[in-house]
Amino acid sequence: MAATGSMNSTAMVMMGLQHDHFADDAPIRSMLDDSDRIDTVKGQVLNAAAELARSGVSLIHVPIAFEPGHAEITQSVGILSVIKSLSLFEMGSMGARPIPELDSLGDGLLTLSGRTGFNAFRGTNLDEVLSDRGVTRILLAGASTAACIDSTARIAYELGYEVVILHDCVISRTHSEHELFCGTIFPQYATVQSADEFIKPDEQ
Amino acid sequence: MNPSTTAIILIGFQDDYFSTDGVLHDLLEDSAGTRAVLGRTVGMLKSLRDSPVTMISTPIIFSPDYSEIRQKDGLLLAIREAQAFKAGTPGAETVDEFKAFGDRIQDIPGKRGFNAFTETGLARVLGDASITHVVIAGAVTSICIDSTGRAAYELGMQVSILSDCTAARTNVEQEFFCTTIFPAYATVRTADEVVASLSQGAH
Repeated sequence: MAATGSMNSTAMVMMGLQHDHFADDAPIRSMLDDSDRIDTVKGQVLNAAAELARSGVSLIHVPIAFEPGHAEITQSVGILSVIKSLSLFEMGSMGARPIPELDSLGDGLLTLSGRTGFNAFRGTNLDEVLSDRGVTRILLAGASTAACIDSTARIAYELGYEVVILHDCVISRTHSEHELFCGTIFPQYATVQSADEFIKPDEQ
Repeated sequence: MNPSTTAIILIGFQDDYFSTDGVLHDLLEDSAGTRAVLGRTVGMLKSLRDSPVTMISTPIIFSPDYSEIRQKDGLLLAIREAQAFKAGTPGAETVDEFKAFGDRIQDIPGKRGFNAFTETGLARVLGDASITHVVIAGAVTSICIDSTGRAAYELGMQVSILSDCTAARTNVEQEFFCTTIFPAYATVRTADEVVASLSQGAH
């Protein structure tokens, strides 16, 4: 049970809720989770966000986006290199756009630009925004578990934030990756809970 | 690999992990495997001693009151509760096996979290030495090795992680990280491969 702080000092930080991760025809959909689970997770993220916003939790989306040509990516190996070779998350393209369902969250959703890597604190003013709002606890959701969620969680923990991973609101590349991270990696620096466990701890 | 622009980053080679009486030694389930990691790392360093390759050690050390640790949960709290890596204690000392290398291994102090770049001079030292490729060895695979590898990758460096010179909590974790997590940002190599590549000066 992580619900020790107040909801007003909590932010739900959503990563990569964009077409290139979540749309039906997303080119990397096949490299991500089971197709069915991607849609389920999307629904759970949106439901949790709406409910948490009503409790006073800040909603923040940190998409990833690159200039056309992906000049920001100099790495020749790994996920960023794949993103460059497939021209994913290119500014101005459909793939980089937030999924349209985010509109349902209204004006309360703050979108931060500038992220060009795994870690949502790098290239953005996320730390400043959280500090300005008095946030001491962040809930992580979105894509994907072993890359951006994990990198952001590690940095948040090192910065002194209390970190909660909403395990039913993150997509992973494989089921075994999801199990390993939620079961044994995240607990080294975060609390792992379902959105419902976080929202209604008394009913668990 | 070009030895002049490559640095070997040695992480957590301290008695609290690597000595059998270290307070966090049991965190690493495979004790014999952990000794073997140290042995292979020392062998690699000996082979490269006379090469231009940069060698850096980034020990994690806390002041006696652990005032640097504000976290109320997780591994850093566990380190505080176990009184691990406390300045002035044997557990915080770098492993004896590295002493023979003297100044050949450059110590960069200041690491107090998972990522060897956070609040240390590591990025500056690497930049000053025109390093573009980091080779990472040490403990623990899923924590400090992974956090440091990710940070180096995001800084635009080429990253190699040594599968046989890194120690994990379990063998399952070691295997999983080397086959599916590290390739997301790094090349996974063995010590022998790195020694061969650096000795040829091949890229």
